[in-house]
Amino acid sequence: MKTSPRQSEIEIWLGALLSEVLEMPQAQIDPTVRFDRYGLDSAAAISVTEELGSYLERELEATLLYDFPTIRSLAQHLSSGEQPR
Amino acid sequence: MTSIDNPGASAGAIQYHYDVSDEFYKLWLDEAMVYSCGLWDHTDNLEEAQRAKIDFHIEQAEARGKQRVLDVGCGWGTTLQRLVDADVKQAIGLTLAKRQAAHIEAQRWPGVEARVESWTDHTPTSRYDAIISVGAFEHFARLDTSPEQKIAGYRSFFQRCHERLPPGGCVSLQTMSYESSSRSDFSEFFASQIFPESDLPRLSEIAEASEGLFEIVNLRNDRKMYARTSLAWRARLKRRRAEAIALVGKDVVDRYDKYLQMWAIGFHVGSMGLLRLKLRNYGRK
Repeated sequence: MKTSPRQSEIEIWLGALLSEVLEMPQAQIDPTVRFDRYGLDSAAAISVTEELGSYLERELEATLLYDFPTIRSLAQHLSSGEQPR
Repeated sequence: MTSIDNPGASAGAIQYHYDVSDEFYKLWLDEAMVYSCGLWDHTDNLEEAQRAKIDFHIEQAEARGKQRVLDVGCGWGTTLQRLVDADVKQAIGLTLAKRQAAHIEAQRWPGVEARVESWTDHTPTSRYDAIISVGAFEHFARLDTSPEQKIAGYRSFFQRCHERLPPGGCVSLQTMSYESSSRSDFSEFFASQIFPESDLPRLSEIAEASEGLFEIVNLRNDRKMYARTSLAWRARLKRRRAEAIALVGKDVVDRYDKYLQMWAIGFHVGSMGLLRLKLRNYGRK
């Protein structure tokens, strides 16, 4: 499925943020791998969600990364215009 | 019945969390200051969910119209007030948080009494008709006790309830639980900064500790409702962040902000549960 421009932007942004949080090169972060496989714990998930909410200018709940646990699924969800769960 | 050693959180540990500042809690809890998981079966409103939860426990405990009902861990007293609304003649609450007890006494609700007393020290002059305990059981054990001591502590609680209720009398209990997580997952952050000297039960421990004293009549696990409640509280705290900081400082506000989100995650993914049990007393042999 072709990703929308908006989804691509969000994926790249998330990749950059995770690269910083996880202290890994961005090229090594696979958008289809689950966040917990990268060792992202709940405290880190909370700060990622906060930053993401600021970037998108939306209120996002801390549980979002657990409902959409990869960069790809999360970006797809956020760019689709659905309300966060 | 004599006092026994408190197997759970000390008065100091309880006051550390619950006596931070009544005005701070008023900013983000519901209007009735009910600090436990709501019951969201038929509503999307936090105030209604808290009222529904309290009414649920009054019904589960079969407390309506009874003479004497005990609330172990009575918080700011809303359940006690609601018991009197349900025609209970005497609603007695136990808490180790001095400010909570002072708040209740200041309301001068007829029929309501709040005591700064642990259930381990409480020696009533007469029996109760029903017992409710919501969001207190999580403080009846500590992380540093052995598994055997933990069960023994819980059993002491159920033994006391057993002896203070008539045969067929009910306890309505609400507590968080370990589900896919365990004691070893209880984070340092929570143990040192949020709920010191506390530990969660497993459902199996509640069953073991109450065996032969009570029959478990029904049980529900509403963990998703606690995720929802925590997120509702957190949203309110976020909206009133500036006021909260003015009351208790940025460090405290950041701690609570973080803990409420971590709780929501824990309940959402199933590392913790939220148990609501109805237990019926077998009666003394």
